[in-house]
Amino acid sequence: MRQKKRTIAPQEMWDPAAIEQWLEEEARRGWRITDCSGWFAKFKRVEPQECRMRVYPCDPEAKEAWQERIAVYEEMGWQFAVALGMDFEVYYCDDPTIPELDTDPEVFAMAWQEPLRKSWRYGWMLLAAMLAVVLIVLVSMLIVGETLLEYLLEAEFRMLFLLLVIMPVFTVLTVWRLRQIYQARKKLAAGIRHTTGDNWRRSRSRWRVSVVIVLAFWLGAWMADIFWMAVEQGPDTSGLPYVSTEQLAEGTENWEPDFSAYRRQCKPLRPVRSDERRFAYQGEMSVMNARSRLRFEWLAKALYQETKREFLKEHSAAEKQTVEHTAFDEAMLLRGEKEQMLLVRSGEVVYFLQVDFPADLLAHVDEIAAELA
Amino acid sequence: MAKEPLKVLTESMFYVLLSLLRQERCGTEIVQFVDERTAGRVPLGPGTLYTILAKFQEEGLIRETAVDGRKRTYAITERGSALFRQELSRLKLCVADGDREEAQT
Repeated sequence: MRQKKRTIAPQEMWDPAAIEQWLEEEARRGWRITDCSGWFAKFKRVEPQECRMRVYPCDPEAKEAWQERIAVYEEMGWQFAVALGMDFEVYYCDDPTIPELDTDPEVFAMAWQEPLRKSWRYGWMLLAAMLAVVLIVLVSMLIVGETLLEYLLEAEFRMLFLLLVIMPVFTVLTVWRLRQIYQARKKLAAGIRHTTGDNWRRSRSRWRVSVVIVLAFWLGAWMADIFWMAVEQGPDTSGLPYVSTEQLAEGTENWEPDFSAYRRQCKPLRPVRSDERRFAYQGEMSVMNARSRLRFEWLAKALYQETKREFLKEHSAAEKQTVEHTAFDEAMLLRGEKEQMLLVRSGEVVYFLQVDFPADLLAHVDEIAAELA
Repeated sequence: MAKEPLKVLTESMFYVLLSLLRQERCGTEIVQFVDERTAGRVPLGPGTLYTILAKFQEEGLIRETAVDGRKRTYAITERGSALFRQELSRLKLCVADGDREEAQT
């Protein structure tokens, strides 16, 4: 039979009722808390019994003053169990006839005023920090001139996890906590003890979810590093269309690659990206092949629409011609004054071929469709 | 601890000040005094007692006078006595008002 056990420590100190319930249930099962520093709480095996467990705030004090206080508590039937961080202590009492640890609701409210104020401040600081991250992302998008979709498609795993999982979950939890703390402060001011009315298991589940998400973040980031290192050599572009410059016009075989537009990347939401531009005559004539395979079809649809929008923004008078083919989910030929773009989407693949010289792009539709099929 | 100054004393606070009115006492003695004087009507838990003592010290109503081993004794200050007298007068007025009203019924 185990004599000791360890479990995740409670963190929601503004809800002492939930912590007390949990510790009382552990005592009924024969476990008494012995240490609660950091993320874990340690328990030792004791005789199973009904006992009252109480969490109470404490101020910093000299060792002798603390010892004197604890001696008085013991004389009055309350044993010190453990310190919860720097600001709280847990006491227990096995004798149901002994008066409560706190016997005056107003004094109780006085004792909890500062810890609740601290939790309130901490909650707002957390929200402010999350808001700051969103602002930093928005400002960086503005500086680079990226859209939200581009930002997400180019984002690394860490940033995606932070923006799409950690921030929404923690924002909801923090707003919920702030609401509870606000109610607790109001009730205490009126001399009523606050409890979320939650089962302690739900309270601890919320904390577990937070811990698991943070751990998943670090583990995922670490795994992602290993994965991207493995695919560093470049994405697998097999099965994606490509129309060479030679196929478009004669005498273009020696056109130079434009390294500023050259991209071969693997990102979590865009596992395959391969952009290649070749040009001649100091950039006056060029061919761009941009191939992307996205993680989800809805992202591919969004990228298709955005690519079209971007082209039309630069060439507002462009002529639009829908291209029908069984291999494509959607396709369009956009013809500006000089530039032309053949834009194709098939499932999660988005491809565009863009030229800025006269060429018959529709002549390559079957060839592109054959690759995609 | 709370930063707002005390305006009205609760029953527990009143009896803690009362216990120190004539002599210095340590924590256990305060509890015994309150228990005897109120015949157990006003229970004083250790959490409540030490929150009150800390608040009273912060407000300058009492002061720590001696440390004998682990035992600390507390004495009431001038300010504490004044607050006690003020509270006592308030309570007397309350009682007088109550008595008058009751006599008329």
